[in-house]
Amino acid sequence: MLGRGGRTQRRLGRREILIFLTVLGPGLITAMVDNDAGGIATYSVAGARFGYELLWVLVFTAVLLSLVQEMTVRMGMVTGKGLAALIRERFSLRLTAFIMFTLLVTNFANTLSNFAGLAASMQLFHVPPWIAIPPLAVLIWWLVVRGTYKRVEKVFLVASLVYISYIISAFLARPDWSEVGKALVTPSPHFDPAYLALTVTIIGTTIAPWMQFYQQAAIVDKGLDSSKIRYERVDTVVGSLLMTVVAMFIVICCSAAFFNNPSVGATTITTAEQAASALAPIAGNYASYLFGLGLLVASLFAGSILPLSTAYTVCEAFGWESGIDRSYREAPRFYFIYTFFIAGSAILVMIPGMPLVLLMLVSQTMNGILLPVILFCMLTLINDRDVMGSYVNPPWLNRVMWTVTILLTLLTLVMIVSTFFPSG
Amino acid sequence: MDEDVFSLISFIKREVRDAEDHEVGHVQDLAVDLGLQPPMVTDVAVHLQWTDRIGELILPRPAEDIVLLLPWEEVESLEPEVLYLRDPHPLFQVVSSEGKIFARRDILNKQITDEEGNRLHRVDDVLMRQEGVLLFLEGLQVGTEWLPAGGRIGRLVNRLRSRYNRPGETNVIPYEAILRVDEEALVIRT
Repeated sequence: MLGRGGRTQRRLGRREILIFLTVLGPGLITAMVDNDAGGIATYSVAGARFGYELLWVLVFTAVLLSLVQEMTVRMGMVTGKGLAALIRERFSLRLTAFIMFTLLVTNFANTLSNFAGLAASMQLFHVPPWIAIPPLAVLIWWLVVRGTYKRVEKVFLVASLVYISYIISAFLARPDWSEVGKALVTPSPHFDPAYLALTVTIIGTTIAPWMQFYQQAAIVDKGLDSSKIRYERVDTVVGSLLMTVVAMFIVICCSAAFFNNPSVGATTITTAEQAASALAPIAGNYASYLFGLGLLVASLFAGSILPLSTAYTVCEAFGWESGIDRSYREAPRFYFIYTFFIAGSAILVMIPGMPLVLLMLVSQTMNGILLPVILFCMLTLINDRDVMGSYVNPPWLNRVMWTVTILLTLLTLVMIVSTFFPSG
Repeated sequence: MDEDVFSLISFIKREVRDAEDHEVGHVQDLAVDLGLQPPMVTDVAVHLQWTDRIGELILPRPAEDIVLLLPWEEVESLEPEVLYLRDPHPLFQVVSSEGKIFARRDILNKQITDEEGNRLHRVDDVLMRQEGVLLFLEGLQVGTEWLPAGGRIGRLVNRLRSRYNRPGETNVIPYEAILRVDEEALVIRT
């Protein structure tokens, strides 16, 4: 009896693992793309300026990201619709148009920042942008449009392994692990404006509005329904944790190398490529190259997913034909948005003197404006029994999420005011 | 736009008053019979502030914020800002919403597809024509003043309008082109 039961359990285990492997993807890819050039820059700056002090924020953010993305998973699997479609059907054209416009601007600036990351990482390997960017832009465009998305998804999943380079870089920078451990479990919030701004930026960079649209669309595209919800939850939580672990190692690496290091002015680190370059004399060329390789793959990864996600989301919101399985004649607006994002970013990033930092600042601000709106829409939708049936939020999750939404709105307002009126 | 034609978006939330001129709630939705030519509004969903009866049924205690479907015969008159009912609150006739198609719930914002399932646009507004106290479905608006539809859908709408001999509004799909309303999409004849 026991033996038979054991075999049944083993078979069940194998079957469950197989189901999990087929479901695996949306959560993991969304989280991995989140560690894009902007994210890497933010974590680098956090480590360089505040040492390990902001590590606890990443622990908090990992929990928050898992909760937000789990709601996305539930909505996608229960309704079989993307978030843009649900917002359009539940709210109004005006709100949808506002969200889509903001998302277009934000995602374009994000794509641009990834192309800037791409150019910078190639420069670390002594390849100038005007040589590197055009073929890489064509590769990104071709990979998604001419390759099948399922194949691309597998390529991206394998490419995620490159993020291990940040873990190796962190070890090469020789951090004080006891300090790291202490900082992880001991929150040390204070009200220094720079600390506060960086806290909001970390949360805003990590929980970006495009992620909710992308993951829900990917779930719908994969045809996953509510019967597989627990597997997709695992995919999401694992993705969020891995993303946070990578982010933590970037903070640890930059903290060990630059924080309190008199040979490097911590405030001179403002971008990921500066961090990669400054690593060489401190942690060695390997650490610098590994950091740069991570930036290259992250930028490529996000530079292709973000335009694709935006094209799908906007087309879904307005009801336009979309999909890489469609021809240009069948889905002209979808291809226009996708191509415009890639071509526009590639051209802008090669123009000398382009104020990329300002554009990224605008993007972060618009992200900050959009996130509470998206969270409000998501919370309204997920508590609507007409939409979600018995899959509505439990009361405890509502309390947590409404508190977080209000808190994020307030913090974002503080950040916007302090960004544009620094003396106020 | 024709004076007798108005948009569903502007009609929703219109104040509802009873036979004694008391404000009782607002318009929530309209049920449309697509089998009729032209499709006619057969019922109105009213969001009542409160009620203690539903048709013949007396409730054990008053219910607040309740949406009831009233047959169109309950409508006494349609004024620009107010919809007047024939009976005093709460003595309204009510009907079941089973099997009905609602303009707001089932048509507004819905994906429009052709017969092959190709996505064309979403329904940006539903236009109604008023004739006396009766309402008829005029068509489906695609594109707005601030967000024109243009392109392929624009050409398709023009073709449909000339096919059904409907000059005038260029961004309105005539009701004759509606084939059916599915759960996922509204299918039109192209």
